[in-house]
Amino acid sequence: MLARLSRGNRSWLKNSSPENLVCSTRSGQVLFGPLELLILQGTPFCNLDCDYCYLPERDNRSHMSVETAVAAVQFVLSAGLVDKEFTVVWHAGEPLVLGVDYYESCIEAIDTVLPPNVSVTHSIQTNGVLIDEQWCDFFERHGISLGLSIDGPAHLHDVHRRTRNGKGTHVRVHAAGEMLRARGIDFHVIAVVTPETLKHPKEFIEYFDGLTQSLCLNVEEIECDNAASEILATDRSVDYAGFLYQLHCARVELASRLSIREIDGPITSILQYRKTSEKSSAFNQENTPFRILNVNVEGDFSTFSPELLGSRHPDYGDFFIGNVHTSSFESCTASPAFRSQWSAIREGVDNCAKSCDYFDFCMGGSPSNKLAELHKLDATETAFCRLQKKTCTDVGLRILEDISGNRLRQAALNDK
Amino acid sequence: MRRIRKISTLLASILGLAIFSPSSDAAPDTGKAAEHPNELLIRVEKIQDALRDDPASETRGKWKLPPLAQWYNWPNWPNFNDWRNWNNWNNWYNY
Repeated sequence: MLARLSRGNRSWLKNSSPENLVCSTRSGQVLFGPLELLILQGTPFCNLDCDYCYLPERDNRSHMSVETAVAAVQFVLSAGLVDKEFTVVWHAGEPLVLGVDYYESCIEAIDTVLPPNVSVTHSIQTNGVLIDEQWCDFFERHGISLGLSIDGPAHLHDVHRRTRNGKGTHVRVHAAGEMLRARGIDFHVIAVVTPETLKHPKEFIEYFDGLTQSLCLNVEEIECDNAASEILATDRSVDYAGFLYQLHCARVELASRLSIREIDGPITSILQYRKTSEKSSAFNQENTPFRILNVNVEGDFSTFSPELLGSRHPDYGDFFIGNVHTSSFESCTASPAFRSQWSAIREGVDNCAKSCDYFDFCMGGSPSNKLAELHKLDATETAFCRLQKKTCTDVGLRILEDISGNRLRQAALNDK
Repeated sequence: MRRIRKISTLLASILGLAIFSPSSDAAPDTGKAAEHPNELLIRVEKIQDALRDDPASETRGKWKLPPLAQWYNWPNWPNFNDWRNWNNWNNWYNY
């Protein structure tokens, strides 16, 4: 039940201007969805005050009602955006400040409106300071996909991730990680990488080895409220490549089972890349309409990059294209707000395809990074692209070239 | 025969002009790929040729990984065959 322009939304297409909406994907097909992530902003409030945070309303203590959460799920179901499964991500604020009972109520209410053939995974990305045994029981009970934000050892973490009183949070977050590990609850870590991190690759790996099996690196981004990033201010591609390569060497040396998204992701892409492969779309999750739906506490929603929730722009306003209580799918896709965003994003992706050798490993970049760095959605390369896409791909290539070169040399020795 | 050769040359030059003229509508819109070979994809192909156990195989993700991982001394060689799709790492929240 995919919402395709060529199928489910044909009536809307007939009433619109197709030339404005049909994009030139390589397969010639435009996909709307299927929905992968329904991002629900339980609250914009955060109990911490990290200095690189991009969220603009982290003092706002409002929260999403259970009715709005259910209306969001009903909206995506009735729009035909859901295939067989999707993930509800509680994000864009610190989710745990709302307490266990809030999520019990939401999950129970959402379950009542789900058709039997659709499954939902709930995912929480947390700063970890509120995790206790009661939360662990909740994570276990509902099979929550959990992510913890830790920037590494204390001297890297506490510089940026602080309470509202300016105190470091590492002791509490590390204790939370140990509690989860002791309970056998899997969690991934998102670590923000700053210029200081780049100086400590081995210590960084040694810290995370054993604490988690899945590490994701986010270079500090310029987004929304975070208008400057030291790591993106100058070209640090060489430093970041060296850092990633040393992370990989260190984990091999330690015989670590740690998977690192920014290394193993590109390696997978390189090994599985096929020039003639059938690609359903030349777009990625962030620049395809309705693969992500971002809903704020009031039920207003946007699509594309989650970070657009809370952004403002002279040409695109607040990026909302509807409200889950009052809008139909047809009305939001026909809205000028959606059409202007989609048109510009599509143009940006087309420009990326024409100008960048790395396009096949990136699929057009991130609209929120384009907007924050270059102030337009139809832009192409950003500093974020250079670090998180190009450099990571380069490191993947280098590791695989090491392996393939050694393998060929070994084969030659065996022949002798 | 000579006339045919002349016509062929003329046709070839016209076609050549048509293809290589920057203003030609017939030029395929392949962007940068048309201007220069993509060095990155050449490297990818070389890696795949060196690591693929069956060079003739066009089946996605068919690598004999366990022997390769053992040889490389990398116990946690990712299980590439299990990944949902080749471009998965670009997705915002897939872990």
